[in-house]
Amino acid sequence: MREMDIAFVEGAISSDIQEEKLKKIREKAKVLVVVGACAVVGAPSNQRNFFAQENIAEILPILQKFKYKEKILKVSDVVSVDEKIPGCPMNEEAFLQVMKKYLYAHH
Amino acid sequence: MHTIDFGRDFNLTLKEISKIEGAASLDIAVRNNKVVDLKFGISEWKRFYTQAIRGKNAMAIPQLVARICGTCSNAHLLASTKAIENAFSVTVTAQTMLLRKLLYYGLIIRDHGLHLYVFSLPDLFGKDSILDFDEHDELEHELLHDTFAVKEVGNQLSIAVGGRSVHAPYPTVGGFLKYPSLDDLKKVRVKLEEIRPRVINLIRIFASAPFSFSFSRSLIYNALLSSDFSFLYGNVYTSDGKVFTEEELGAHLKAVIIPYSQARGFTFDGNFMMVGALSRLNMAKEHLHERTKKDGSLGTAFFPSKNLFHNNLAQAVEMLHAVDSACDIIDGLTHVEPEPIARIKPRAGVGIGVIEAPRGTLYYMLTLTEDGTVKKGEIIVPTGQNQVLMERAIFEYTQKKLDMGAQKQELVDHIEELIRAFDPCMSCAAHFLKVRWMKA
Repeated sequence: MREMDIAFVEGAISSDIQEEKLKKIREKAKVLVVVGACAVVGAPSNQRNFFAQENIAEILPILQKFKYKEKILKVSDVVSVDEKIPGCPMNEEAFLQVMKKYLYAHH
Repeated sequence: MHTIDFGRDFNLTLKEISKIEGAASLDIAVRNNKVVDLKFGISEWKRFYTQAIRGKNAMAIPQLVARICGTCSNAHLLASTKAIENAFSVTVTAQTMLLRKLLYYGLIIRDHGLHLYVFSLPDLFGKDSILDFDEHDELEHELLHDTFAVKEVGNQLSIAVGGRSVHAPYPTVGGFLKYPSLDDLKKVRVKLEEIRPRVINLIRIFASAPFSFSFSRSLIYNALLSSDFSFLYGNVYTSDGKVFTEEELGAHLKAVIIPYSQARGFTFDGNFMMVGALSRLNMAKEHLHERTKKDGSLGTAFFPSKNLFHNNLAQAVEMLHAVDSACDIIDGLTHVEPEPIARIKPRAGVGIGVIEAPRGTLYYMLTLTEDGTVKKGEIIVPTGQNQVLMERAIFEYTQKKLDMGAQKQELVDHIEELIRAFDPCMSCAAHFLKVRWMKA
């Protein structure tokens, strides 16, 4: 993985592999921007965190077979985050503001 | 010149196949220049929507399931809406049906446009990415421009009708929460006409694409088809001459266990099956818009076709049909009447809703309680239905290329081209694994 000025991360963290990759991205990126509801607050990707016991029991064989994490994490549960662009879909204006902030910071 | 090197042994693993929607992986073992093992798996992580919708009120479902996919979100929204309306016997107005079609044509233009311009076109130009196109080359510059212009107009149509191009907030069970202004629609109408020549050019490019591959075994194509090729209504037709109602479809689809995939595959009455643009064009090209038939004849002439790469050509033809059909609908509107939403009276029962998502037939079955709560849901997505065929087709195509002497990197490029011809969407496919699938 190359060094990055800005890394954009979408989605929530479901597995250890994803968690490791996210940590690597954090190491390589000067600025880390999380984009969209799943990355910023975890939802709706984290809906199984709130399942009743009977639903968990039902999906447990899949969770075990493919080595899912016990709980789905939002990005800031794993690494430090510099900017958050919430919304599903993300708010375009907020995205442009972040882009402008860092683009102009380099000139 | 190719050198045929008999006795080649190697293993090939593609962990992350690029330029598709979501994550997929492929493992191939070659011994003596023969493919002895090939596993195509969908490696996207599941979000368990089928379980998550249980216990929620039916009215909240379309907006939740739209989040299954950021690309075809409005397909999930409209298919689930249809299932709920069928369960509650809700009839929508003619205007609502027209507006849903318009919303959907916007999706077809943008979604097929994304796949063809951004994912498939680089293969035809021997480039890694559309961003590598040379702006000093006249054709490549033009295509870069087309990429953004065409996708943008698809977006604008969906925004004008649905309030947003993904996860549209206006359409709801029983009608629309807010109505588009006729003025906005007429403005989009002008832009649709402007992108028309660009889409015709795209048809021309894919009609002359050099890729070709036919599957050796018999294969059932199926699709929900209507006389106006609307993607949203009609009956399910199969290429072996059968016709079903949308309620009957589920009985013919049999889930197949693929232990190394996060998604289940399907067969149709035990046969290899394919859904999507190729299936639709193979069975219903006579129902395309008249202008599309005339100006897209360079593309439509190829159908019916057994060349799996023609799925991309079929998508380009459908984009033109979406442009032409949307123009017709807008031309026919003299005003948009804000109508009250149909009265919903929840009742216990099962609702089935089937539509043609951009990538093929999308099936929703919702079991609802008398107060309108979801008791159980079943969602069958296009990529799941195509998965069994895809793996087998990759197997045959790999062997064909090995026989022609393809070297390892060449082989990888060819395999990815074929996978992209299917336009698979792993984000959709990976989230409906039944637990029974795992235990079997």
